[in-house]
Amino acid sequence: MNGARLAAVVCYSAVASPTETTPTPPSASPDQALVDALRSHAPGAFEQLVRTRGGRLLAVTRRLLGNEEDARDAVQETFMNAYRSIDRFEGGSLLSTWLHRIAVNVSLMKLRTRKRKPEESLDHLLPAFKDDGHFMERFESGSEPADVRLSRIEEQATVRTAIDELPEHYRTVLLLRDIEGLDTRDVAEQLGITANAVKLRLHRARQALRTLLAPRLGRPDR
Amino acid sequence: MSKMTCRACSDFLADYLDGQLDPGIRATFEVHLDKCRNCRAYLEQYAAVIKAGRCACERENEQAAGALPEELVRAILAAQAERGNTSDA
Repeated sequence: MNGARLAAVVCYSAVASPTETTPTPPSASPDQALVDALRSHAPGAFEQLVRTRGGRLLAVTRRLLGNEEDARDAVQETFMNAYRSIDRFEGGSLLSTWLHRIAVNVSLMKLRTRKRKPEESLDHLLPAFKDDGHFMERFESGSEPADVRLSRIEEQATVRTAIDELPEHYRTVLLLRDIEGLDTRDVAEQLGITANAVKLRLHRARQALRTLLAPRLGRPDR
Repeated sequence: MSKMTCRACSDFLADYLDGQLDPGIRATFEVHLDKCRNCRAYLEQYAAVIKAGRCACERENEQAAGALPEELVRAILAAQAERGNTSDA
């Protein structure tokens, strides 16, 4: 493998391992001041927490639950849980990370209580192979790297829409692993499935997402 | 494994990107990748959608920061106040 290609692969490896990145250490902190205010029930502290942190949490719960009413309930529950357990916040992570984790857990709890839907197939979005094991389709590298093209602001709504189009069983795993950064074991535990099932669903979800985004991945310069 | 097909290569993509392939399989995978332009393009696109998903959702989070609907803020504050009153009782 030549040097340039190897460098690209190293870059992809970093992209694909969100759980291996080192979290930013908490700074000496506005967080701590707010946590202290919450612990002492200072007037306005809880409202400040809700107003400054709530928007991001709503974006997370909307993605996971795909339903505005449930997403709002989950945000409310997140803040109530956080307020109740603020004494247990140890400051080992950022306050936003701690809240985010609560929001994900609350959302997963809601997903578990929903009536189970039969698993939808996404076989039609997976690559097809010839008898000799070669891909049926030809894939092209454009003159511009695919990640640069897809990461443009004007493509981001398309990417989010494509994620929303994935069947729920696959979308949830992709969101938890690739977007929220949970590790495979955590996702398996939260969803009550095996680690192998998580890995398989994640791989298929990524393949399906690639197919959905294929029109954006071709050669724009042709 | 002395030779690898595109199908097998596709099955190993996630473990390869996570750095979790057994060294022997990884070597065979990389030999295949070196020879197969189609698999290299597929790998590039597969990795790109992972990164793009993360970028798009992070952007969505940033846009949503500080934008909690006012009626939801009020509902949360009311629920907390009610809970506080209940605890005091």
